[in-house]
Amino acid sequence: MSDDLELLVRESLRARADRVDTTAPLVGRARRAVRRRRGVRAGLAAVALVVAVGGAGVVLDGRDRTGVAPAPSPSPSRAVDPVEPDLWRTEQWQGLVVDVPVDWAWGPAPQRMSGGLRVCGRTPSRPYVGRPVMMSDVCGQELDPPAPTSPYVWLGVDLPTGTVDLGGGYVQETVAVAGTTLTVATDDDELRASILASAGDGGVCEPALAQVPVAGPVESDAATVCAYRRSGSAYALVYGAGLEATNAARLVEEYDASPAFFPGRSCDVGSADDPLEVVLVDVPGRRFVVEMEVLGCPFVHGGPGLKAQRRLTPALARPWVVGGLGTTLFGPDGGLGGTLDDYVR
Amino acid sequence: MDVGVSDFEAWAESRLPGLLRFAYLVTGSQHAAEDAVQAALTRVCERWARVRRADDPDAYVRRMVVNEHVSGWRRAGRREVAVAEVRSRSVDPVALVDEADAVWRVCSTLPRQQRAAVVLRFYEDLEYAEIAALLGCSETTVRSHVHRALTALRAALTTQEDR
Repeated sequence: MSDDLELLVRESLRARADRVDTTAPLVGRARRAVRRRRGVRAGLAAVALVVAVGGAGVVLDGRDRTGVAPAPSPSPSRAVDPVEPDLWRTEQWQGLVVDVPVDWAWGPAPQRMSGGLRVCGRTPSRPYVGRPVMMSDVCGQELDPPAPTSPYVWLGVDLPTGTVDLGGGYVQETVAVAGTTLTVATDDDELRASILASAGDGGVCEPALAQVPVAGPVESDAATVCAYRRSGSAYALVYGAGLEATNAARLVEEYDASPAFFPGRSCDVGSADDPLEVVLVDVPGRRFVVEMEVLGCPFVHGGPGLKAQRRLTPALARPWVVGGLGTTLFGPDGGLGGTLDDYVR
Repeated sequence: MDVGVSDFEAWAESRLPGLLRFAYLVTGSQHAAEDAVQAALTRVCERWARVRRADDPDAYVRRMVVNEHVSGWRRAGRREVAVAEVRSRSVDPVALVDEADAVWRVCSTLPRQQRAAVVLRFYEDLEYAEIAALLGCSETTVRSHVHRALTALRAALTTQEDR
């Protein structure tokens, strides 16, 4: 019976596929799309060069790159073969997705504050992906930053599009994509082009949430973790990634082993309606919602209702604090002396 | 014409019909299939110097088509309901309800990754390990996807026979 069924599926799919129209001139369209992209980037670089020569480049001056320059690293990352998916990983910020080499670190990127762009946290001494979030309460601004010694990618930094020569062979290029910006700085033109070419919109997480969703059953069989921070009256995506099956299973185990938690038991729940940070953890068929707020109680909701509510503990957080998520969020301590990474250690 | 360009075009033209058929089965729509394949070919073209040296460029492109379909759903913010794009002009509702259509109806309702697993297994004839590598999940997950799809199909066919 099983063999008959499989045969039926094969024949059905083949019959359906044979009726597909395969005459669309997609190869030519792809070539033209590539030519257009390369033309736009060349045009931007030309504009940047003209403005810089003209002396009007407040932000096209390498000195406005700002931030704390990375300490010298042993050797800069070289371009890896992008056709090997295991050598790349996908980073998400709001609606932007971009591929970077899998061994790059995570760190802060400049944020617009009074007085200019500042970096809040320690910049890694090796290639990294930076996000404009506070990873420390220490924010610095380098008035005359030296040339970098390792490449970096910045997501969503308030910089104009264009290309800047940073010195030391490094070129920084900023493009607008998916409603935000992507900045790539390398001394390897091929690597920079590969990273920029991988950028687009979409991803495993919604770019923003109008409100905190309800936990419970979902139709999706995906395992993902999507982290948001309150931005005005909504929530913007600051980190998104897939979740390993073992992590997903461990979260379910920890949740099932945890007692229900009700407000009023030695916990300030004053900000429960409007948490600062929200994390959606999807496991196959189910969504968990984590809420974290400064000086508030962190919760894990496994479904609607109080009985499905758990108090967040390091054990409940560890399964989904993956990759760079731990340094991107404040966590239950609310940024007072640490990030989520410190909470789960 | 640059050797690299003509090389890419020759490779892509030879693969295009198969890619479109595969993409149609994964997405359920001629339009979505063309979008996914064009996006994948654009990225391959940009990276052609490396792609051409890979052990299996075809697997790389198939993965991009699958991922593009997932990303496309997220961009649209809606669930796509697959509709059979190719129909005969004279539609007989009774005649259409046959076993082959039951397979397509069931496939149309599957979650995206599960559907991709079914297509890769029964249309592309890939091994479970190859499918797992392409989808970026475990082999166990792939086997589970296929098993659940066959279970749903068996139930659909049984319901049909009982009518």
